[in-house]
Amino acid sequence: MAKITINGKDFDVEAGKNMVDAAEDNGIEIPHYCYHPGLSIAGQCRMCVVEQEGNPKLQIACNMRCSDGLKIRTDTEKVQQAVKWNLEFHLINHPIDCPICDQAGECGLQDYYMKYGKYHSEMREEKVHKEKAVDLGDKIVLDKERCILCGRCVRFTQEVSKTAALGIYNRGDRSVIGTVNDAPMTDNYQVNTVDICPVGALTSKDFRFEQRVWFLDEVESICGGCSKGCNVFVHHKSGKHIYRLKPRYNPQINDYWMCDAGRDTYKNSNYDRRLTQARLGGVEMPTSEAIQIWAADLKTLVAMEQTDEIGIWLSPQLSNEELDSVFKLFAKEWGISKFFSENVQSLVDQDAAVDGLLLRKDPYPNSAGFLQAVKLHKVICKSTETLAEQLKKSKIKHLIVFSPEGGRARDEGSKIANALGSNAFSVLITPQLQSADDYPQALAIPSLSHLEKSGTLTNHAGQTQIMKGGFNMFKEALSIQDILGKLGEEYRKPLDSERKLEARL
Amino acid sequence: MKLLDNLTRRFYFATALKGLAMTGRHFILNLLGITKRHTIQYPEQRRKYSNRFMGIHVLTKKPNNEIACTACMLCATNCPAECIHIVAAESPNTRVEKYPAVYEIDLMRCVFCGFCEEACPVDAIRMGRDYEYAELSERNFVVGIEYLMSRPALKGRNVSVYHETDKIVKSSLQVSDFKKAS
Repeated sequence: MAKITINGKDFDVEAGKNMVDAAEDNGIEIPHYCYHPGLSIAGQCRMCVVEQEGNPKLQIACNMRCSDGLKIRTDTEKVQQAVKWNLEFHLINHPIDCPICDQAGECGLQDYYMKYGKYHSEMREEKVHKEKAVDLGDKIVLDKERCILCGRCVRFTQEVSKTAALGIYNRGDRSVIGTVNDAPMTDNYQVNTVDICPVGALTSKDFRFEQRVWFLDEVESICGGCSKGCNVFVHHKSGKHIYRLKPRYNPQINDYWMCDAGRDTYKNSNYDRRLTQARLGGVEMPTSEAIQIWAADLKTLVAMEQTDEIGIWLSPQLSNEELDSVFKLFAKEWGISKFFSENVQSLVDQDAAVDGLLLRKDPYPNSAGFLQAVKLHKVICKSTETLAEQLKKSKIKHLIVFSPEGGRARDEGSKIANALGSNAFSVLITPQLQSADDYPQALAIPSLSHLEKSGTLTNHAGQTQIMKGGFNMFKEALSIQDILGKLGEEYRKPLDSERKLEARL
Repeated sequence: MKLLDNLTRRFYFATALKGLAMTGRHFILNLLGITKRHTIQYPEQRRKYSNRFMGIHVLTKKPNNEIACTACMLCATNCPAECIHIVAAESPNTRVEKYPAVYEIDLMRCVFCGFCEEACPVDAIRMGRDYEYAELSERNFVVGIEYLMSRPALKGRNVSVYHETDKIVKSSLQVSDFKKAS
């Protein structure tokens, strides 16, 4: 521990800690552009200047390590003037095209101008014009004019993604960020440069002109793209449409970063990929009605003591809570023993980091939690191939599929759907429209997509994390717990012979 | 007190007559044109409104007849009635980056406060002077770019705008020309 003094107040901080971080932890903001806690120190922007006792010149806080007796001031006239006119230097050649800039609303220049600037520009010269809207591959658009040359993106590609794709070219006011010959960036971590860009120089193509950021709401969640379990923020507009995912800082798992493949997973939640209405054989109906039909069919089977003919296929994309409620209802209450899933054990065994950074092989976010739940509830989970065999032999007459979202759903789904004859009644619980199309005869019930859910997930390292979710984009789509709760309610109601007939037809 | 109350209740007829006399007096005075009439023969006769009157919005054009709006959505942000719906997109014109692919105002929701006009950084939306709009369906009150920018009522009116942003557009033209050459 080190005792430091900021603006006359004493603080106990970790010795050797970066001053910008130490001040921020104690509620004192030191403005900075080029400094990023996940990257090395460049000292390029000179925005973080502070006055240090015993030193006649202003010092940059980002290059200052906390040590005992260090005394700094951020509130003196000298510091304020330095920051203010520094900002003007940054803005000399900045086009200030905020109306068409996607960064507007979360832009470092806007924020600091309102906090520390508010000067009248003293520049009379024409701004230097550079290329706008330069295409840097399929994910990033570069605006060379807006860049303030802080070099964060350059350091990111050198230190974290290690592609060294970006660099600063030319000198003086002609300096620009770019790739060699404007070659496209191709790696899986490039959108992180958009996140760390303090201005609108690097913007995401996927989010380009989609929405102004001040309309977006933020929810903490966990990425469902692989078994890494990266912490993310879901940015959605009033629970109607998800616009993007942003990484959320977690030093134990993903630090400040996330991969581009994970970022794309939000698309599975939006309208064009979602099953928004329950349907049976292509006919749409309210979810409550679908659950009634389902309950009636289950009930006839249970009444005829044919619970052996009920099979359930699960996906390790379900959260721990969902798995728990599935096993509790079907295994414990109704004594169903035929559970199937992908070979999760082998997925876990073969799981490894794909590129040494974040992305992992196992495409499910909760494989470890799935194995734990299976163990806890003492059920036996057989493979998809076994299910296909049993379906072909007509050993299963009532199949319940908890289908995941994403491309994986198709691969596994086709195995089941091909084996599924017309003699089995199948119930599909899925958020995804594609899965519902794969099972045209099934009773498809819409459920919540991964990012809307609240629950816990256990990642490859056994860390259990909470995703807050808690919004519902489509009225008819329910959480799996709600669906099972309603199923239980319907199940307890007296049997309606007419409904039973309908279900069998 | 009770007696008086009873009496007034019984003789309400007198008050009614008094009211009727008032109506009659105004009727006759108006008929003879003695007092100033507040009504006008509307479609033929029109009232003069102040220059600051805020009617149906106008989307302005740049000198090259393109829409001036850059789809920054500040009008939609500032709108207290939430009646503006904008979908931004990449402009087909290579000199312009962002433009509104859809710009809709729900005139039924609009309260004609003029906040959109105030918020606009490029003078792309102005409150017009038209106030006559009648439609058969509610849906028709949701008007798009076509109506806001070039409805018949705007014919002959100057809705083009030249301002600082044109400078930016021009300078980026030079840059993009440079880009093509290199």
